[in-house]
Amino acid sequence: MFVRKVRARFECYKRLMGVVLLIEDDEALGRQIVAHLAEAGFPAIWWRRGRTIAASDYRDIVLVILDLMLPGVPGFDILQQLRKDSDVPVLVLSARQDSHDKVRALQLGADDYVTKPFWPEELIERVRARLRRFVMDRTSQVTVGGLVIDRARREVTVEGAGLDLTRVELDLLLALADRAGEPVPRRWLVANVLDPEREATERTLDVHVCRLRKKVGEAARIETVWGIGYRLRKEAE
Amino acid sequence: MTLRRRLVLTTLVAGVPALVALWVVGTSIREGRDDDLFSALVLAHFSPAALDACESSPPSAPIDIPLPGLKRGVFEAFGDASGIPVYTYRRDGRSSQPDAPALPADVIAAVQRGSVPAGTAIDARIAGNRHLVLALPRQEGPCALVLVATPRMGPPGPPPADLLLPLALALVAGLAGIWPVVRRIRRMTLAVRRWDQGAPLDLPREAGRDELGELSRALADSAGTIRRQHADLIAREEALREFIENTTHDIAIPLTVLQGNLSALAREPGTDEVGQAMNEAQYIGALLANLALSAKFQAAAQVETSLDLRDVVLRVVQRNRAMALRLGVQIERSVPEDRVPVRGDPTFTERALSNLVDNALRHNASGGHVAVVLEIEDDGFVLRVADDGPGLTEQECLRVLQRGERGDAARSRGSAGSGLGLSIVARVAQSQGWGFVLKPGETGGLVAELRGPLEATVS
Repeated sequence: MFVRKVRARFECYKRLMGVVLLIEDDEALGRQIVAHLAEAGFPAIWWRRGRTIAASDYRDIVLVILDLMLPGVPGFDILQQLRKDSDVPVLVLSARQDSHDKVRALQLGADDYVTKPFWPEELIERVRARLRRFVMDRTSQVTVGGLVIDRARREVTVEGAGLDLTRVELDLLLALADRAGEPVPRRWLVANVLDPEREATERTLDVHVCRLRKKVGEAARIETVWGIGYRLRKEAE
Repeated sequence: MTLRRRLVLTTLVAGVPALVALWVVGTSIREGRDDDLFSALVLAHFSPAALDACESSPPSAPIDIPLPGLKRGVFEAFGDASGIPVYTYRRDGRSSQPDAPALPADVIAAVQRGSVPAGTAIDARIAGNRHLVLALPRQEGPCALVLVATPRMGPPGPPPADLLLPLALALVAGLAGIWPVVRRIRRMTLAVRRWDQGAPLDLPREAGRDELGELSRALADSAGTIRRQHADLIAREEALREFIENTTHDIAIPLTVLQGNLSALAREPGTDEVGQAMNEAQYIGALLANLALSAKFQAAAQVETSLDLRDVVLRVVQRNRAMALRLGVQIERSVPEDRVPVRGDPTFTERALSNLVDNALRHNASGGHVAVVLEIEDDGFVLRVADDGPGLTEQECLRVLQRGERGDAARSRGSAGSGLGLSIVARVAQSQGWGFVLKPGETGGLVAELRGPLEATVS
């Protein structure tokens, strides 16, 4: 039953978003990685030996997870051949604590590397990062949570109603929105947002953030990140 | 001082005094010989009949003693003169010749003392010139002494220039003899210098039977021994590195599978033991990596390349996020928007940061926080790992670093992050020219800080 479910999901995803190609010779590890990928929503094809990837294979492959030490065609050769024919992201797996291998892999065109041993969560995070097409939205209008921020007009609205923000509060909100989802250091905010001639200190920053939170209310969440600063939560989180 | 200069100096220092001494001795011998010739000439003139005539009729003018017809040696100095003028004196120094120079008092005293036997001569300096005073056989009367003026006028002159010839010959001969020796020594020196610069050790094997030839053969044999030992060392090092790589590789894969299985089990309820097992697995993985890195330090196997520290921070935090979740510690990171390019070894750098984050997580309690912050300051970067765990005092921070830098053999997972992990951090920082400090946090906990230059500012 479980196998049928996985297979069905696999076929569905394959039609929608392509597959991850895993090239790993270790049976236990390969089986595990395929299961973790499937669980995370990434259907995978698994090759147990190194071989060249045909041009027809590229159509469905959205990411390659490549072990370097393989029987058959070595990992570096596969990587080299891949890069000649395609720009599909490649995540290299290596059990060797060797910078030469890492540097060579990156020079040959690998996008990332994961050193064994690794936790499945780490691998899935890396796969997500490679597959995610995150584009910093620098357009005039930005939507974060329930806020709509118009940079050009320097206006913020919540459900169509304008928010009355001071200059500093608006600059603060824009700085956080530019890196929505990421913690922004307090020191950076003090140095780049507050007016240095008007006692730009972390204490002053805290006061401004407090006031901004009150004005923004439930429309968006400005979190305090311990040891760093503040983060504006993105809508999806 | 080079050998040649030493040879020239030695030749001059020894040769010049020797030549001067030879000249002095030769001059003295020549003078003695000349004196004998004068004495013989005068004595031959003052026969018994001549002495009788002198006593009966003391001369009132210098007596002219004929010179030999063929003038040779000292007589050459008289040129065309046919005779030597001599003056006669009594033993008390009085002369019947009004123009006779006065004899020096020391000469008269010597004669009267009996220090000048008949037939012998004594030197006398009269008006700066060297004279001979000869005692005639008749010790009484007006012809007891005869004064002869020798050609040696004035003080002795400088040594003749042709004395320099043997000195010059000695120098040239010495240099010619030492030149091949110096050349052979230089050949050996060059071979050693080339080896020092990385060329294979290849000393010339001299065929000569002298001491230098023996030395060169001994050195060449030693070079062969050194080459073999060096090759052995390299082979052993390679073997060790291969062993470590293979072992690391062989352990890494089953450990990854183990971690994967534990991760799946951890999702089931009531799995505290599984959580602990996951922590131990993480520790084993970190220890494996640290041991491998320690071996690479021994082999000086670091690679220097350009890397973006932001990637290192993101990777390390991702790697440790699962463990943080299990421990109930919140881990956050902040990196600049712009690249943070530095020169370093990616594996070493990542391991160093991973050790710091691992320490911060392990020495914290559930509900605690760890923050990894990368910032650009002036022309460099600052990478901080801060936690709000129990922390350390300033003295404890120093002690921990000292233990860590000494490579304390106790790979303790105990208090305050001592042991192999911190020693790796300290060594990585030192080898990449970065600063590394541990200090108490402003509001408690511990802050580990790495500082270094950005790639563009490294000269």
